[in-house]
Amino acid sequence: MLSSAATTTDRGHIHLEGDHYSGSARRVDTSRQAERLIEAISRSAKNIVVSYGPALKYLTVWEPPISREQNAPAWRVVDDPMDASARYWQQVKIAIKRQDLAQAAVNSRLSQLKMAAAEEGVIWSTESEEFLRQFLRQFRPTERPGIVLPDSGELSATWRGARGEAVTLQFKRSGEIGYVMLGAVTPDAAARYRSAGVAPRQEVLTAHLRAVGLLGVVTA
Amino acid sequence: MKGDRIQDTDHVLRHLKSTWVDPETRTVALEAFIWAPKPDAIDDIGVSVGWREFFVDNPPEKQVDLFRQSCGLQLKASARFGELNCGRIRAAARPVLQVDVVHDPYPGTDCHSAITGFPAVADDNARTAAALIAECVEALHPATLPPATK
Repeated sequence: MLSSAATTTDRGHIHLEGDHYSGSARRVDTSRQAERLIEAISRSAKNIVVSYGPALKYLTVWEPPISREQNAPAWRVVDDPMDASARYWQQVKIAIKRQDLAQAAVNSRLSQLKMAAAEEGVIWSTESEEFLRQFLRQFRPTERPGIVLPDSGELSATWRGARGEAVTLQFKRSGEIGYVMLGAVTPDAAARYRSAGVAPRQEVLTAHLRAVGLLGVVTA
Repeated sequence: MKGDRIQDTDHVLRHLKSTWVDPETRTVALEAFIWAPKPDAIDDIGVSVGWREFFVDNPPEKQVDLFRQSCGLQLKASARFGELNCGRIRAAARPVLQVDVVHDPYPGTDCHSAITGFPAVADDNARTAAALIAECVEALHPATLPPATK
C-alpha cells in the first residue's frame, strides 16, 4: 500500500514523506539563497522536481520516481507548496501504478518471447535481456515498448510517440545499442528526421535521443 | 511475368516468425525487411513476399488463404503474415533507398515476389528503410488456420 504524509514544522519547513519519495519545502528569503539551495540539491540527487512560491518564499524539492523528462520543465511555480505536493503525490501514485503495470507487461512479454525463441531455435541472449531490463529500470516507462527477437538473439524494443515518432533499440551482448530513430511524421516524407547506427554506451544514446527531441518517446 | 513491377494499389504478404512480431503492440522486427541473401541462392533478388492480388477474382481473405496453401513454407501456428501495400512500401523507403516490389515467380510458387533495392550487406540506410517499411504493415494474418475454419 502506498502512503504519503506532509508535516509542517514550527520553523516553516514542510517535510514530505512517501513510500517512493521524500522531500521538503523550505522557506527562502532571496533569489540568491534559492539558487544556492537548488545548486546544492542538484549536485546530490537525480530527477529532482523543484517548485517555488511566487515571491520565492518556499522552495519545494522532491526526489521522485518519475524521470525528469516526463515533468519538464523541472521548475514549477506554485502558490501553495502543500497543495502542490499533494497534487504531485497524486501524479506520482498514478505514474508508479502505470510503471508497475508496464513492468509486469514486460515480464510477461519476455516470457512469451523465450518460449517462441525455443520453438524457433533462436539462441536467447541473457546478456541482452539483462541490458534491456537495466535500461527499463532506469527510464521506468509507463507503457511497455514493443519487444521482438531478431535471429541474432539480441532483443529489440520499439517505442512510439503520439506524432508517429518511433525509436527502435537493439540491446547487444557487447553492451552496445543499435538504434533506428524516426522523428514525427511530416507531410514531406523526406523531411522526417531519421538516424541509424550503433551507440557504444547508453549515455551516448541518451544524449543523442535528448539532442533530437526523442528522449520523451522512450521515457513516456 | 518475372520482373514485372507490382502496381501501387496491390498488396504483398511477408511471412513473419513468431519472434519477429509483437501482436499486442503491432510491432514488427525491422529485420523482417532486411535482405539477407544466402550465398548459394543466385536468383535471390530481394526480401521474399507473396503477391496477394495474384489470386485475382477472389476476395482478400481467400487470396490470403490461397497464399497460405501455395507459399511452400513450413508454417507454424504462431507465425503471421504481415500485409503491406506496395505503394506505401515504395513511398516509405524512398527518402533513404530506392526499393521496388516486383513479381519473382518460381516453380510451384507463382505468386512469389520480392522487395528489391536493398544492399546485400545491410548498412544504416538499409536498416532505416527496413524500419520505415516495417511501419507499413497494415494487417497481421495468422499463418495457419484452425482446421474448422479451413
